[in-house]
Amino acid sequence: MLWIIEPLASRCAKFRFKLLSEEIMSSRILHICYEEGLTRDAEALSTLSSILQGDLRRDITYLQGGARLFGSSISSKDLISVSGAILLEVTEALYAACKSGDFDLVNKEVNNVIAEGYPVSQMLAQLFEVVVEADDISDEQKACICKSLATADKAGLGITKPKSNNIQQPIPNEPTRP
Amino acid sequence: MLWVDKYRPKTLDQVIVHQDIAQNLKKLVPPPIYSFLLLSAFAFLWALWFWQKTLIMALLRQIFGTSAEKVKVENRTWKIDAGSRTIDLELTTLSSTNHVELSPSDVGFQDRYIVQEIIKEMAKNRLIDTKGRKGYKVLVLNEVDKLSREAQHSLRRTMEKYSTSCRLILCCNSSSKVTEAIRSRCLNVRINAPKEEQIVKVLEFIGKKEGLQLPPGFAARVADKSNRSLRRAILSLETCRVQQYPFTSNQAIPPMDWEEYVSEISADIMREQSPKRLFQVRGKLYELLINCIPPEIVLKRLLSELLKKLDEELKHEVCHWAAYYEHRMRLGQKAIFHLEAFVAKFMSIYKGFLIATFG
Repeated sequence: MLWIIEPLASRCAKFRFKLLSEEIMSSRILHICYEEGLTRDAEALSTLSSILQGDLRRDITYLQGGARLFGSSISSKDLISVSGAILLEVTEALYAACKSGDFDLVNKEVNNVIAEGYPVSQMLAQLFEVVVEADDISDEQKACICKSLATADKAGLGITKPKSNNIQQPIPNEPTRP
Repeated sequence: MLWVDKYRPKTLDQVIVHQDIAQNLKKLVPPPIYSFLLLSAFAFLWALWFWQKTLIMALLRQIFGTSAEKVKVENRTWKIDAGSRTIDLELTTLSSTNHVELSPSDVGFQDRYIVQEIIKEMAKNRLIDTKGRKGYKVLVLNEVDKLSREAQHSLRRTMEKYSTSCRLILCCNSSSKVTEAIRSRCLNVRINAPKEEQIVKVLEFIGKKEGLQLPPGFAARVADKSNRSLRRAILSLETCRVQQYPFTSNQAIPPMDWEEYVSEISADIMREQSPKRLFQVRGKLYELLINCIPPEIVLKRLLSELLKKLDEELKHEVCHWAAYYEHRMRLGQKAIFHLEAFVAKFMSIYKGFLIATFG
């Protein structure tokens, strides 16, 4: 919307398309599963909608990929591996390492994440969610962390290529910081 | 023949390390209509690069049989008509009868034309096999993450339009650089670096095949030195074999020359922080760069060498600056400035720390 100049916008009728809601998506997916004779457990369904954030086409592609690779019953783990998302445990481990304040521990964890080949942007996004939902850090600390996450994300995704050290940037989780 | 090539798995069944991925890939034969494969691997650039290639070749062999192994390298110039002018593009392709492999990002900012014209051209032509059935071609695109935005968008269009006659395998080092639109159309396969136990297993396998006596713990030491890179582990095993056989359990594993050189540089920096030393270091950095060691790798290695010797409280700051200069290096053109800036910055931080501590 912002990029369309006013004279053009004023001459058009505007339609807004929202992201699909979870119910609509899951009913559609269940329909496809039924038609294709696939079974997927309830957990897989909820995992998928949390990774996808309202993109139905992606969901269907992953479902098809998963069905092809893992047969007709699909678990949530299979879906995660097809979609390129990261298991929650991995993110949690990195977060715990960051919180410990021990540099070598963090370094080891980061190297591990890189060697496993997880996409950096995905890692940052998931780390962000973990940070936002965490109970044991104050709002101000959260704000600081989010800012450094944003810096790292920009450094990784701008015109440049992501690089290991960008993950290391958001580490300053020293709890003493005001 | 190097062991690396000799024991490179030819078929998906021979794969030792990523057996699960190999088994999954096998289920993709014959490739279904939608199958665009996005293989993503990160870090350890050369090593995993090699591994991706190995898996892809094995997959192609699985699809097309042995004909996929007869590849020829071709260096062609393409004339592309872009409105008012024509552009000449030179591109190296690697092709067999059924597949073409190319790195569109080699041509720099003109990669859009490669995708729009050349790939489209290749995708359009359908193969017909001996029985008269309509076949398909496999296009392997390397370094998709280095493509520009425009090129990626054109690629998406090509993918959809010619999906009946052409299957794409996209390789990248980090899938976060590939646009969402392409990623959502692909089946993602993440290839991780092999774990140390797996490397040990492969080394022992090779040892058995070659009839070598591996002393206990030796393979583990080679694996430990290899930084989780299988190719490097095999290469250094072979180097050890040439140097001294039978192996002794405390035999030194020769490090790579350039790594030795980087640790020399880091020792220099730690010993003295002065403009004169900076000048000497610049000479050494130049030496590395003209020997074609990528500047990012130099910086990363230098950082890890420096971190080994640093005090806990400085580590974080140094790491921050390394990331900062690394980012600028990618934005800029001349890597040497940024490497040198990092060294200078490090010297100033370290000197300040020394003065503050010891007066």
